Amino acid sequence: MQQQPNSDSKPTGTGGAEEPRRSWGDVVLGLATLPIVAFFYAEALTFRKMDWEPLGMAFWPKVVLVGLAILGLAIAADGLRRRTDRNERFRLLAFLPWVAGLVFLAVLPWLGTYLAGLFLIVALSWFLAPEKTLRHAGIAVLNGVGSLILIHIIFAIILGLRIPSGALGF
Amino acid sequence: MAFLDAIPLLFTPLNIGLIFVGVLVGIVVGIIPGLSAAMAVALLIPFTYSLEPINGMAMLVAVFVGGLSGGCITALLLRMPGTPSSVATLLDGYPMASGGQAGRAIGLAVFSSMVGTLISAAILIVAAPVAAAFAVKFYFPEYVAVCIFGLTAIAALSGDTLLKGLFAAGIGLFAATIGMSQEDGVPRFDFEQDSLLAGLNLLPALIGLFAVAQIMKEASKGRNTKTQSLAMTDSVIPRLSDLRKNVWNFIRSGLIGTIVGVMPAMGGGPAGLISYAQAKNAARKTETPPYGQGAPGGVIAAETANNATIGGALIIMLTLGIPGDPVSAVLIGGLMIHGLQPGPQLFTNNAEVVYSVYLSMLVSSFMMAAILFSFSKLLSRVALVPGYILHPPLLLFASIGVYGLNNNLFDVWVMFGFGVLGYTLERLRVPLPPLVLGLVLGPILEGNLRKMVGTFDGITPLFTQPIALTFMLMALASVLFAIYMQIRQRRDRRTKAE
Repeated sequence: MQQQPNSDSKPTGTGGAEEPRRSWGDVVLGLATLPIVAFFYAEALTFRKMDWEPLGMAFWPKVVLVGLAILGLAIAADGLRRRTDRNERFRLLAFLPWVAGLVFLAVLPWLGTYLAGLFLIVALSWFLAPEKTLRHAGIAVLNGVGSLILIHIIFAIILGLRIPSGALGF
Repeated sequence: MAFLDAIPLLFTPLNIGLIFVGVLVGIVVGIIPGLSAAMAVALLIPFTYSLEPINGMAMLVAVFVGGLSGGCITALLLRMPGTPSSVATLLDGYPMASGGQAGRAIGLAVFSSMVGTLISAAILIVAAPVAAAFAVKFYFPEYVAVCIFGLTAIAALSGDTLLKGLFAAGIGLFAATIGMSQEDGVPRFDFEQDSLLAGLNLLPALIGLFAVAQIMKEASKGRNTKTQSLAMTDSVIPRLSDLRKNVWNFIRSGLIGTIVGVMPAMGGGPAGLISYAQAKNAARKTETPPYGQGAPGGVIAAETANNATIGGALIIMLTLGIPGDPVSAVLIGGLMIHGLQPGPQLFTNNAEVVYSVYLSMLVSSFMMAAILFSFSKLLSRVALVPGYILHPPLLLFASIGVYGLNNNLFDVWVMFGFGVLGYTLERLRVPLPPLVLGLVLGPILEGNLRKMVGTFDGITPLFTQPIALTFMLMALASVLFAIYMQIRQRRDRRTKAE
């Protein structure tokens, strides 16, 4: 998919506007692919060979991994050759929902969906709120409680799906 | 014609009411990321126990139509594909909606869904036996050829970054090899973890790639960035000019969707992507906005094709008893509960059930359009909610929906894993749709390639079997066209620079 114009899209290279800027992101991406490919390729070498089948179950992953390695090298070379870097900047704030999601998953077996979900929504709403006021804290709590009521109605009552409960029984 | 005689028997208030309920449930489930049409049909099967088979099947088919269509709403407004089928819809739909044309995007998506369903219903009614005869001619070489043709869509889906598009497709193809090898019954890359035995599920991967990555992207804008407003200020009624310009797009996408739907295990996701790629290739170079940046033709191609898979899947389900996708597998279960066996005998022994399916497809498509047109204004208001209020519950909704697929927490971990992958790749301008194509087509291509080589002792059938050869030639034409376009783009850029 083509990228949409983004407000946070800034060159990551070094130097001024007229200086050639290499695409270091591409170089890192391409080179990082190689050890990962090598690791999985080594794993594929351990696959059993079946007598009744000419290609074997390692054939396809090996083909794909070799292709990925070649493409990785090509991307790295292209990154070095490139005159402008059009990649977009990574921002730490982007990982906030992701980390919150992982914490939610980690505590889910103990707290269950309702408590862990309440934590996820309230904490994330609060951290992402434009201001840290009492009003926004209230909005975060209301958001959590309201969303969980909606989730309970849709998933548990209407659809009758199993919602993961934790050690506390919620 | 017996079908025409049966119409009065099928147009009963009960049947129409059941179809309405089915479409509504399907839309609601389709809108919720993580919940699939198959799940919606499975949930409603118990309600059909007490109904006559014709009524029960009408309702289940209505759920199928609603489920596949509802997914487009979240794809358009939130860049969150409700179902795998709506992945291609967001490529142009989300840029349209975020560019202030949410109404136009929803209108075109809903109308295209209706047209796609109607085209495939017409093919189902008129040519089911012919299409079924075509379907049974598909053997390993034909599947390999179709997959190769499907993969040529990478060029169109990569925009101006073909190298990275191929790289993304490689990641998708590789990710699809993780888990139990279906041909050997032996796990691969499982590292002795039970949770990896079943491999990486498609839907959690898609929701991670697009929805979680989008939430991460929105969060990265921080407090100072204004929330992007997707307020629906324009009309949802499709413009005549859009429809007139895309007549051939509708027909081509409807045919692609039906043909892909006939092939078992393909489904709406690849149908939408292949059709999108073909529409992009066929579009004029001067098209504004270009594909990938909010072209109405992209939304039309994706939505027409993914809904047209419904008719294709029903063709082989009714005539041969083969489940083409998970939904038709569940539908077969619904038929068997009533003591009916899908296949040629169904047409002679229980023709009324077949007609009920036909009627339900036709009526459901109109009802789906009416419901979505009526509620689109209301639904679009979701996108007006500020990000700090909207995104946390969306993340939880997606997590619970994904968990509900198999009652497996590992799927939710997969979703978050693909989320960070999607965010990282997008920052590096690696296009995500080719990755989806690789994920979907990888297992089909590998399985059939290995079986073909095992059975025919080589790849010559790809060039000797007529259907396989046709698809191979189409693939070759697609590749040559992509190369030609790359050369032309480069020449244009050079001319501009000079």
